[in-house]
Amino acid sequence: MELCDSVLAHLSMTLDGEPLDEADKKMMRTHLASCADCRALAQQMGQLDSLLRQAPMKYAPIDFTARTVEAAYAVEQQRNAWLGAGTLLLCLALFGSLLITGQRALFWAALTTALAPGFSGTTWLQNAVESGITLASVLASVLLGPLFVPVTLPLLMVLVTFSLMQWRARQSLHNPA
Amino acid sequence: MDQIEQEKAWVTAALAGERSAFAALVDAYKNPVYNLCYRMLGTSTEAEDAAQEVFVRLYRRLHTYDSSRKLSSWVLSIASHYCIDILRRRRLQTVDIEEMPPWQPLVSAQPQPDAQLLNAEREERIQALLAQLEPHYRAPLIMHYWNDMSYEEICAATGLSLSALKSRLHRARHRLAALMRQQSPDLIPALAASMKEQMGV
Repeated sequence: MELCDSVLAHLSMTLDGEPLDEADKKMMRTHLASCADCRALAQQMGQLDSLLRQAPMKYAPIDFTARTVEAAYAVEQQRNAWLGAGTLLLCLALFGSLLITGQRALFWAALTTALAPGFSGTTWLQNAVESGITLASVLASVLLGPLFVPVTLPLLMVLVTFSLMQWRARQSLHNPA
Repeated sequence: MDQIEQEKAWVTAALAGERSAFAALVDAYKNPVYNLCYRMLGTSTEAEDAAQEVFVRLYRRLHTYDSSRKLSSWVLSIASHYCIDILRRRRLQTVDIEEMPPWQPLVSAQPQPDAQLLNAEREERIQALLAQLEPHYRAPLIMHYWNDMSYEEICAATGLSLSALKSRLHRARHRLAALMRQQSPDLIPALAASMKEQMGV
């Protein structure tokens, strides 16, 4: 039985165009001459090989590319809309916290800087420091803000979960099971 | 520009938001992906939906593309994993293949079916045999026969080692040959007749 398996495995390799050495070829010939079951199966595997090689390739519909590109961009736009909404919520939480806790000077400094052309986190911090507010008080305002816990934390959790899912998808793509 | 350079250029341009570059990429791989999905799932509607989803996923993950890898292997890897997932989910919902009625010819009432109908009938029967193979045997077999991929390319797309791939191809052929003997012993004579007709004998 082991010999039968080995002969058929070698036959499969020849169907794939793999070269066999003379000893293997001789072993196959000898076995196939004496084993009717393997002979029949070898013939069927050969016929199956021809059948599959002749089965035609299936082609995608003509408008497939246009529809697929449209779909991919639509999904991306939807994702961007969610990210935009998330960012807006985060900004609302931060600015709202400043306003509610009475940090009006910081609120206006942050708002005007955020709306100014060429806004960046660094310029925002510089302006904040120039306004006489230390980094600690900024952090305290945000961390103690009443909107921080109900809005920002769930948002951060969603972002962390999303990143983890992407990381797992990347892992499964590069190291498939 | 060689193929790898061209693929890199498409990916870079698509990431920069160039829609035409992503369209060129889809155009280049739509047929291998669609064929793989069709042979894995069995119907053109499912194949189209699945192929579209594969490209949507590809677009979303384009920034993770490893340029040392062939893009075609990566795309087909996404496609085969996606189809295997669908088949796993479907298996939970469908009846056991052993309980299914034997295959019935589609055109048995035709007195003299022409070559096109015979081909369609044979196609249907090949597909019915393929559908009975386990998905992890089916994917490498399709890549080998229809997508004309080398051992190395199939290994890259499926994540199998070379010896595991050879073993799967062998087992897949062995099992298909046995199924063909049990369920469609007349497929080979049908093939011979169709070949004769094509050759004008």
